Amino acid sequence: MAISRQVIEHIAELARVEINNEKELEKMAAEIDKIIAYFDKLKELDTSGIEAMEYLEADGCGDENTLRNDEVGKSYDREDLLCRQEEKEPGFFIVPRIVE
Amino acid sequence: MILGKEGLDGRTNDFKGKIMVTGGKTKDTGGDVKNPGGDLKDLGGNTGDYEAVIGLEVHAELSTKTKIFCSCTTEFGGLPNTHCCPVCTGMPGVLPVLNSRVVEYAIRAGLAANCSVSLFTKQDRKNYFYPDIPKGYQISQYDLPVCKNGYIEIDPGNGERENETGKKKIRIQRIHIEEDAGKLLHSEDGTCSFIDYNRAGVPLIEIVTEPDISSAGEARVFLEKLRSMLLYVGVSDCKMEEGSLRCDVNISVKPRGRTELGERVEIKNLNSFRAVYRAIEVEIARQESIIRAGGTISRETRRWDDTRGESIQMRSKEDVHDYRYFPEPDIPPLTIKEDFVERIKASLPELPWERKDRYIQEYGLPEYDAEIITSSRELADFFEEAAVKAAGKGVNIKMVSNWVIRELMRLLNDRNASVEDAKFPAGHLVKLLKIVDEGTINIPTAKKVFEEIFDTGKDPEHIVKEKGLEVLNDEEFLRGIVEKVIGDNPSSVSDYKKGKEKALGFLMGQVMKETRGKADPQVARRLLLEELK
Repeated sequence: MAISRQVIEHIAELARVEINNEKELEKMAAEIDKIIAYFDKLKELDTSGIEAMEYLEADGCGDENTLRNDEVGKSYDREDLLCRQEEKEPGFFIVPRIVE
Repeated sequence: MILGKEGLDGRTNDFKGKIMVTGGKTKDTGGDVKNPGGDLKDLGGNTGDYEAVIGLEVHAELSTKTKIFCSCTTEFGGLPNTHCCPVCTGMPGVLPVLNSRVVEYAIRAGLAANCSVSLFTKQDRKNYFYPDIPKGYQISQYDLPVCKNGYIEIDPGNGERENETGKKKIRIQRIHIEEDAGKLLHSEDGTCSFIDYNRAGVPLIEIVTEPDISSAGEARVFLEKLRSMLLYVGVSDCKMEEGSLRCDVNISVKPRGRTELGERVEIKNLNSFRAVYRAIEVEIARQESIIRAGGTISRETRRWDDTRGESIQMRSKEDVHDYRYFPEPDIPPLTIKEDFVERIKASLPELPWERKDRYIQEYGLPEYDAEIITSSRELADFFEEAAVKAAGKGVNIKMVSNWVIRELMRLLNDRNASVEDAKFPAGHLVKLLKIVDEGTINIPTAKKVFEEIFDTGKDPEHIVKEKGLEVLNDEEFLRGIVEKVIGDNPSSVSDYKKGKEKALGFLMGQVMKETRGKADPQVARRLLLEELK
């Protein structure tokens, strides 16, 4: 099933992927088509009577819930969290101006 | 929906001048209707050609010690990005682990709201790009919320309209858990935005109602009830000023009696119950005027501007978010055991509405008084402690409730204090009322004594003794004062004898002045009349 141009553009926008020209769009469409074709292949398997499984645990492989107690631990030093950012002051993560 | 985009509460405002705080979308895309001010009427009632259909989405921050997926503190305030770690700042390679108390608190709230608890529940990813969420997705719940199908009963008569009687069920569609977002601030020069992730990962429950609300008044009553319930069960501190309780509203308007719903509009950024009330009134009027003019309502998201008293379009139907929910692969699903739910159920306190009914039946309180007293668990605890003592001492319980509602609440307001900080035991109030009952002090004196009890925590009997506040009803002593007053004011005496009733008031005033307000007014008046004969 060939994927439509609009779907590609929509997905690209959702994923914030820039498509610069027609050639890029065609290339991407072809690649995504291949991926979808792969899933179509998987669909050929007869899975009737088998329940969908999203997690191993849900399938009985783990029976304990993975939870954490509500106990405060040490947070990180701000300097460490910001160490990859050039500007350390005044202690914020800095991004290009965002206004929704 | 996206949370907390507006860094408006100044929490991270610790370097003033450099940063300008702005709201969401600044571009006005038109279609706004100015607040028509005084022309508004409540259209949600049983009058008018149109009726409103309203649903609420309420976010409450849970009062756990730590965040939902990491052990950073949830404490409010703190320097920017100091309550953070790689998990809540979305660093690659980290593994979030769900806080068990979050699950417990969500179930607690759900049970109090008559919900059924899902014994199998999971987390889902809600994908969107906005840097208040560091990962590019929010971990939330999609198709298997922790709780669903509940209700809270409200008494619409408590709202604005008095023409409705009886209770109304507001159904709760679902309660799910999710993580809060960080806060964005924008630089004044408009080049960049600053992010504080202290709030990112603070646990939230989102409570979604069915569209069962039909007016601004009902919405407010529902929210008050919900807030009081959350406080009673102790899962959230519900401080709206700190953003721990927030609300979005969905409204549509349709011709009265028509069954199919109109297109709905979502309103965000409502930071107080008053804002919710006003925004609903304004939105109903806006939609009604569009329909009346032959227009149609289109699905959109609007942002409430409380200062201007109007809403501004944020998103139209065309650019509605596509969140592409899918099961969160980092967090295994949760199996909730029935005995866990039963244990939570057994630990629930008496809920505000249950307590209110009991006060009406057990203590004979008027509904209004019972409503006020039970609106806060601490106030109700105080009242109840006093009521039990009052019953033992033969003090009228209605009097106790009057003093709690009038004097105690007045002082709490005045001193900006809360009942939990009260310096005195409830028994002091009962002792005071007993002294009043016995006629040892009069009401105005009692009010002053109560103020002192409130401020110092001293025993009322000590205050009365220490200050010599006992009512003077010693007839011999008072007769002496009366004779002196009559001797000192011959002109008033002759005025009275000529029939001027006013002169008696003046003479009484002189007696009170001589005794510094302590004379028993009945005795003083009788003696004065006798001496004037």
